[in-house]
Amino acid sequence: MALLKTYDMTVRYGGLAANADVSIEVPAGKLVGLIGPNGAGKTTFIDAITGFTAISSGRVEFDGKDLAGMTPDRRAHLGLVRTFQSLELFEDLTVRENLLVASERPTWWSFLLDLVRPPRTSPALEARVTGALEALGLEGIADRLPMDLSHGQRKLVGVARALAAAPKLLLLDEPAAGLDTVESQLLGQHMRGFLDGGTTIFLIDHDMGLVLNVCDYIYVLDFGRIIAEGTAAEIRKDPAVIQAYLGQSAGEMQAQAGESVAARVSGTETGGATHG
Amino acid sequence: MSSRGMRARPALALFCGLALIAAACGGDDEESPSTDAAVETTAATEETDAAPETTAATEETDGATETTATETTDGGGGAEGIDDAIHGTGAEKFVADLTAASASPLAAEGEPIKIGFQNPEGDPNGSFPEFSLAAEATVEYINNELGGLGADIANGVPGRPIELVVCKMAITPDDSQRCANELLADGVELVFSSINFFGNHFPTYAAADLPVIVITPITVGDFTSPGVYSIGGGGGCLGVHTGLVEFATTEFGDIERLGIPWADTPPGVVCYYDLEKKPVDVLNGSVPGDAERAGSLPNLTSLGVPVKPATPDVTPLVTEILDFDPQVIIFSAQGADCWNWVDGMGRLGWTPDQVPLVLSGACIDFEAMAAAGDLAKGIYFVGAPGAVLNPIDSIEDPRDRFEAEIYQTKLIEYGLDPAELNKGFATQAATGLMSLWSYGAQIAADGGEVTGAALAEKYAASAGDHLFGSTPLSCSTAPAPYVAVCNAEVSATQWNGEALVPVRDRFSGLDLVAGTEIKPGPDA
Amino acid sequence: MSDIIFFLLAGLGLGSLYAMLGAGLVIVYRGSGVINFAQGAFAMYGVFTFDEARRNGYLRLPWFDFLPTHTVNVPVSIKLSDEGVSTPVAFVLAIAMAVLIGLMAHFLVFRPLRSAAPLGKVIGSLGVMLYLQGVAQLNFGGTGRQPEAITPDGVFQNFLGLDKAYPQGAFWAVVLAVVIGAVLWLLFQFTRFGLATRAASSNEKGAVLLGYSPQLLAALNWVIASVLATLAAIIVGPIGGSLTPIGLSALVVASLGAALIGRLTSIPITMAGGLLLGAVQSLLGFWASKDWFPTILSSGARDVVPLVAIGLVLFLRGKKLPLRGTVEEKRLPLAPYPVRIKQHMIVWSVIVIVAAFLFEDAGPRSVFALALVTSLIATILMLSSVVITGYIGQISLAQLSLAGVAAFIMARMMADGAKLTPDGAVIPFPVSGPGLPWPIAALIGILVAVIVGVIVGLPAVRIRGVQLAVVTIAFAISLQTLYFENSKATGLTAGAPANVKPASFFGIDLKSIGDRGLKDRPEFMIFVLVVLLGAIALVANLRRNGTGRRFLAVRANERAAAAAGINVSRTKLLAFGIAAGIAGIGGVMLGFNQNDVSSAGFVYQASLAYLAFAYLGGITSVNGAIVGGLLAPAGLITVTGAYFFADAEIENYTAILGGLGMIITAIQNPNGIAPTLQPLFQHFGRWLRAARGPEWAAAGKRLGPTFVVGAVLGYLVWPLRVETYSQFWMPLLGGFLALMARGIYKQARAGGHGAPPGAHGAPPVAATTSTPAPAEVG
Repeated sequence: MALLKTYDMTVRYGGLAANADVSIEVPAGKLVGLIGPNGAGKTTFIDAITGFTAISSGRVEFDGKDLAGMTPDRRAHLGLVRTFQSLELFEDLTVRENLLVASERPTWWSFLLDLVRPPRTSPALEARVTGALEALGLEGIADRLPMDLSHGQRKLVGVARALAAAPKLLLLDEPAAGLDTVESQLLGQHMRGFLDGGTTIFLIDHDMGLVLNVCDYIYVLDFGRIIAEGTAAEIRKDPAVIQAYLGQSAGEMQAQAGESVAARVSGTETGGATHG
Repeated sequence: MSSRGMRARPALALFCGLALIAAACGGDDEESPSTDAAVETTAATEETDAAPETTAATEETDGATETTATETTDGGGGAEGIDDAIHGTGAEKFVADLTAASASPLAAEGEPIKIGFQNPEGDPNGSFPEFSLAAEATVEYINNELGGLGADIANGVPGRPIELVVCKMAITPDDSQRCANELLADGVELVFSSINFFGNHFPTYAAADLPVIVITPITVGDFTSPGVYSIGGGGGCLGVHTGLVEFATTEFGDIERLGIPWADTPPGVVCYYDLEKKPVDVLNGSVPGDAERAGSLPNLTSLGVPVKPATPDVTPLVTEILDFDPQVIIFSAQGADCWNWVDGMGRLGWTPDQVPLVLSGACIDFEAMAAAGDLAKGIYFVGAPGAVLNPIDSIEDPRDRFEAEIYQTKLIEYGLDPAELNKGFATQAATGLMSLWSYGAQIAADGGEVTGAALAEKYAASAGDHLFGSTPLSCSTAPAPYVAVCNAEVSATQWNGEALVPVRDRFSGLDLVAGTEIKPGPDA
Repeated sequence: MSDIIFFLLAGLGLGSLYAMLGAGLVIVYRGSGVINFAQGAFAMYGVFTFDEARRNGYLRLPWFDFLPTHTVNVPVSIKLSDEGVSTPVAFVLAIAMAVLIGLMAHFLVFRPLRSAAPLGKVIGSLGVMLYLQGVAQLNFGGTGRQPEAITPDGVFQNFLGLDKAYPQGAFWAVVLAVVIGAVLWLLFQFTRFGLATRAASSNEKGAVLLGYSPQLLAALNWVIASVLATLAAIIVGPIGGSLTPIGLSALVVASLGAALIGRLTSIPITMAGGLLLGAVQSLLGFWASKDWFPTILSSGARDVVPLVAIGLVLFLRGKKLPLRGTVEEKRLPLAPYPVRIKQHMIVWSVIVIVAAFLFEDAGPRSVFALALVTSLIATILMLSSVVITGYIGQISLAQLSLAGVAAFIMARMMADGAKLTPDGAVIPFPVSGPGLPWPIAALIGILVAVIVGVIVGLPAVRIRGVQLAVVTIAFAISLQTLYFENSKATGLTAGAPANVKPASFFGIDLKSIGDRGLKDRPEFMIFVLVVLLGAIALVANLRRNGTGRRFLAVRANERAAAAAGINVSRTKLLAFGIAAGIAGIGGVMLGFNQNDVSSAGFVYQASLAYLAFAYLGGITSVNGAIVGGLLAPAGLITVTGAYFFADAEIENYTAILGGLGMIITAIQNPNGIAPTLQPLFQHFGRWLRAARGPEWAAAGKRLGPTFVVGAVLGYLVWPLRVETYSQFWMPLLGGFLALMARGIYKQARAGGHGAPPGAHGAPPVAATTSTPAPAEVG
């Protein structure tokens, strides 16, 4: 059964249809990718799914429920959690607190307890947070403020924050932006690791190397429309994709570079290479 | 109840109206607050040909002192024409003492008696330095010439010098309490509270049963707290409002329509319904009362229009009143609110001789009256008489002229800046301190020891006692619940462009509300 | 019907003043992202200059002579002629003064604040307002004067056939306002300057790239707004009421309402809004005296109009109210995770308890007891600002009004209609009420404050930043007229203060006044201390638990918070509720301390003062609230200053110094005093714990000589300043100043080549879209 399904989803800004009749399906436990050139409507797509922009027509179903009219925080509670291309970390909280905030699910009266009792977090919450930190190798910098971290580390904290919420579906919005090929391949391995934890992942990026190597199934978006879908092998050879993307040779060369690096990296001992 | 037109300013936001208080409230009106507080004292405006010393301070003062000194010696000698019946008991002795003292000054001796003085200064929301400056000058005059507190001038026996402990407060309830606490910690025997919008200083003084003399009563605490003596002339709206109604309904024949704009503040509400609307209803018979004029004007009607203090544009409200086509308009307000209203009426074509306007004594402000020009000529003022600031040669009443000379010369001599002298609040501070001196003298004459408690008794027992530059003091006759109001008699004067011409002396409208219960609100 | 039309027209005179001031607010907001609370003060100083020149022939420059000497003076007053100068000359002088004030405001205050957090800009503009009011009080005197109209001042008889007289002044004010509005509209629509300003206001970075300097544009806009304010006040003349230092500032709220109606972007709509507000206010004034008008509303109706107008604007188009981003906007200071709370509380408690007994019945020194109690209560009130502004970033200027609600409700719950006070004095206006015991009454007061707090928080769901601050001011004013001053609601006839009966705790009487009248009872101070410690524990726990984290997440980034599963609207309302509860606790203690609370104490100006001192102390930390409480008016620091430097005539300069203090803090030290002192105290605390004999000796050797030199100097200088400083304290003061000078010198030298000590200030955060930086590997 598909965890996330969109039926002809259309998002219109005035006259421009940023997304037109987009129908995709994300089966549970899979790593599905969405690639497309800059300005193809990828971020509009993820904003529409997570409730930040209104849908002009069509439907979105998550875990069997129609998301129409749901506020972003209600969707997060259902397990649909996203990261931001621009990170949007909580600059005033330490890394650990960023993760705690994202994964806490307070009851309406918990503020009364918070006012009277000294600081105490439930063991389950603690476990989720430490698990996410370890998954991305961030234990060392758990108590530092995001503004004191390098860009790479901030990227990982963004992903860790989403992961800490133990989401059913993790929407990654251009996680590899700004990372070099070595780091993005490392991130790709991490993602495969998350799948084993029962999390489904929907990866959105324009880095062909990462997407083609990591994803089980790929959709290609161009000018708001799905122009192709299929496994990595089919997508690589699909003429429409190559045409729409960066032209024949560039697409191919980037894919091969990604492959060679992935081979070398998986040779070294795996586990989170700390970016400390 | 806005005593002599000064009504309570419960809200700090209303303090912008407060900062408009230019004129004295009640007491010795004809004050002309000079607006220019800057160091360069400009000459008071030409119209107010007040006593010579209002021009450049220094050289005139010596000139003035010689002339007045000579005058007082011969003029005041026989103290003729000063009669306790008219000017209050003790008036003759008071004038005789002061005349003797200015001839042979008696310096105070012995251990000083501490008198507290709580006054708001420095805060843009409301600052009245003239209170403390005039008080300090009066204390200097008392200590150097009148033998201090409890002196017997006739036999040359000096009393104790007064030590004035001034606490300057900002316009916040915390600061008002801090001052009360500070003065108490300093061990003062008696406290003068100049003007206070919170009234939260009374519990502190009451707990230490320290008597408080309120110079400018405005809050409900100033009129109703026990152990407090409000000596501001006209005792707030009790004297002024009823006086306004009495004057308006008698001076201009049997009128039928009375326009009453009123200051829309919480205390102002009671002042209007209980002391303006109710007397009108007594006069037209719709409310039973014991006044002999009850029911004498059956078709007298009135229109009340609430005016929030510091309302910028009053023309809509003025239109309402003028549409009522009143025969007389009475307005009890203070400071710049009065002249903002007069200006608004002028902008709608009103002139004083078209419809007579009667304002409260607190509106008297030489500067503003001069600025208003002919618009002010002919306006009546009902408040406490005692033309201490009037030009000396224009005063006929011997006592008033004598007290005006004392005020306009001695205070300058003892350090008061002429710019402050012309301010109404300065005259009130002088009234307060001089009353303290005269009661001190009386206590010493009876052989008693001058203490805060003894002074308080004198104030409490006062009935028609002479009060320097104001209507007689009679705290004992204050009707409940206004137990702290010490003089509810008022007088009427008219501004003729140069000076305030007395129109009617010592009268009171209290009788209009006799035999009626309190009516604090519209529906109550 | 003709009455209604007439009174609507009659209100247009004042409406034109609202319109022009509102247009000035829009111009400044578009120019530099600042809501200029000082717009009324600009108008006031300009029209005072005009009036002073015409009446007395003097020009008063907007500063004061701070040089103590009499020979070398700062020029303040310039005599132009013996009597007044002619109107045109005075007019030119007033406009020139307006230009000067506009430039001073931009270059000295708002240019340094260009990238400050919104709260910093609010505090900056409040500082300018206070400064101008203080200088006007000093230069022009506090007593009001009636402005003379410069437009024809006659009357139209039977205006438009409504058989009523209509003042020409109002007619000309409206005509000129419309003309000025048209000129401004043309200026901003069809000139390059106008185009550049509108471009910079929507995307400052874009404008910079196009070669426009936003600072030059901002400066020009400030000058235009300042000239417009002065022009408005002069044109309107007497319609603006009499001239006082704080007169026109009170009109800012209505003009802010007009500006919000124009969505802070469109001048024509703002001016129309202003005129409409004036008209509706006048109509309500007319209806208020009618008997069918509900008496509960009769006195407050006019003041509620701005709030209703703002409310309508919010809910019609709240979401789209633009937030003018700047190139790079610093964040509010960090809210440090409270550490070692227990130790801090113990240290503070010991100090206060010792002080309580030390100052009891200590003659003149017992004034410190009340000062300390006032500071402790001010700290509770500032803790509510720490929660609502420090933790969740919502600027609320109604916290003190909420405290007032708690105090008044508690007093009413305590009232039992008694005719006599316990010691037999007659209560002239008895207040009816259920007569509940104090704990229940206090609880009800706090709960009502929480409910009202949540209502005040509702607009925060749709708008944020400085615009929210404006709404809270409107709420505070409406609470003032609709509740505090309303005898129907409070049962307090004739403005009598609400009497708060003293509390007691199992037989221990907790009244604040001692048996000799002095407020120095240790029992009461400890009662306040215990309540304060409870409030501190609440806030510290809040910060350390999930709720506090969620507040900070919403403060940091509302979008990301929503994505992380936080219901932003409900969290904001929760924050307003909790902050209102703490403010309620503060209000209850205020009631116990003052015994008689009157509505005069809870006006929005007082809220401004508390927010300003909380900001000075450090708006985001418990220590900040403690330092803020000490700084509060009538608090410990001011009373200590007054005690030791009794005769220094500083009270005339309090407003000026307060204004300057706020401006300097907003610019130099946005984090407040506490965070900057914190490292010093920690360093000193650690040294103190570690130091034994030898360390003390070493320190003595190092600091001793400087201190002695300072002390000797202090003693020598004393005779010259005999009247202001007491002889005993001067050497101590001298020594202390010497030590400070040595510390600064050392730091300057160390700063010269060593790395300056870690700046604890909030580091500038990259603009929202973080440009990808080369990733470091490993």
